[in-house]
Amino acid sequence: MRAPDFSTRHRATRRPGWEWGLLGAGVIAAALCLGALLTARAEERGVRARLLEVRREAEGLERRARALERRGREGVTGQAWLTEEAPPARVLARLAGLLPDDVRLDALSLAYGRRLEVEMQVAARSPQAYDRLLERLEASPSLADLVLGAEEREGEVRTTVRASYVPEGRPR
Amino acid sequence: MTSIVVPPGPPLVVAFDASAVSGAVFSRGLLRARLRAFARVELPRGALVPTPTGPSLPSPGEVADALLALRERLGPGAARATLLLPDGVGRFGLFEAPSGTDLREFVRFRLAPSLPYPPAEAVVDALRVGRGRVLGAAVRRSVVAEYEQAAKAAGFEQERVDLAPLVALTGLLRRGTGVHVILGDAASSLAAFDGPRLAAFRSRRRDPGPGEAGRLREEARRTLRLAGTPDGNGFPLTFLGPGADALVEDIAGTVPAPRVGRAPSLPAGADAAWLSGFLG
Repeated sequence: MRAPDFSTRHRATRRPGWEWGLLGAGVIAAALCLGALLTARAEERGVRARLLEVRREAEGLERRARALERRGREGVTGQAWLTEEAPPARVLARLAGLLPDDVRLDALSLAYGRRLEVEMQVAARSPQAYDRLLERLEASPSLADLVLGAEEREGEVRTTVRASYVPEGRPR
Repeated sequence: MTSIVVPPGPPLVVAFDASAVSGAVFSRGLLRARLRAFARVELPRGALVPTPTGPSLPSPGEVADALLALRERLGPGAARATLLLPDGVGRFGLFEAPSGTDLREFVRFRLAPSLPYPPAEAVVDALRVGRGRVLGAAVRRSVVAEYEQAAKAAGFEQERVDLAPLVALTGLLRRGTGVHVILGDAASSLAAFDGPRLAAFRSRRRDPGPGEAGRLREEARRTLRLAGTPDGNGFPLTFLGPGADALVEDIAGTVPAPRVGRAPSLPAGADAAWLSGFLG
């Protein structure tokens, strides 16, 4: 693993070929020795991950059922329901989860009414990153009626995206 | 030139902090580096002030004098050194890095909005902390240059420049679990683990004095919450670095939880947190 270097001068990091050869031989030998062990562990991890996923889903459904029961009892409707189901922190977390690693959210506006209108100012490192963002936004069940702002496709892309936020359980 | 076959522990490390400069000479053991010599030279108060924007060395002459004394104490041959900058000069961010990307450029992009100076002035690098995960750090170029010039003035030949909290974290990655507080003179860093996985990393200015242990414990709890890890009734909390003993006693004497521990013992006087990063 390369150690970090914060020197103000640039440092070359080329390595001699025989070192790469030695490293390759070592890696192959280690891979052969540990192959069986790794396979078993991968299987175990897979099972554990699936179990965890199922548990999380079950917990989510339970929470959702409790919330619906509570709303039914309290008669919460309309905007109140929206602010309860989609508080700013939850909306921000959901939108942040949709961002690819090379896209950042510079500003976010939320307007609560009959619908929750979202306006995002985003910055993407490249047009490709911006395209990945759009794919995710379009595929997300949490967003509807996407409206894209003007964009500059040279280098870093900065633009505004508007959409309606759809909380879980409400039809798009 | 970086070499694959040379063990990771550098032969000589020179570390800066507000109260002193210190140095360590390592020898290459079979499995890991061994500490061969350690020395510490106190600095006059105010001679070195770790800040992210600089200037950090208001009295470069006094720092250079201390480095000369340090070099003398470390013995002959102590010249080619890795320089460690103190906690308080760098900005950090824990990121999932897309594969195939230029790590330094990616970290620069992600840290840019949080830097208190123009991003173009930042020297950026990253430490890999897991599969696809990196801890990125940025230091202002002019700040790095101050330390480099002080070391050069004392006759040290520069190998590379690293950050003390990053080196300490290298050692912690082998241990994981709980929250580790890496203590520096002016700032401290908190590393929260979810099992063996680094889940959060934060750096905070220190506020020494009565009640610091309690404040750090609350910071540790906040760091756990930031990591999305439930803190429950208690969590393993470890202090590393100068003053760790007093903080451990302070917390252990007042509350039953969280669980408190110290880093494995180091040679007398050598309580710098970064040492554990090289010694494993």
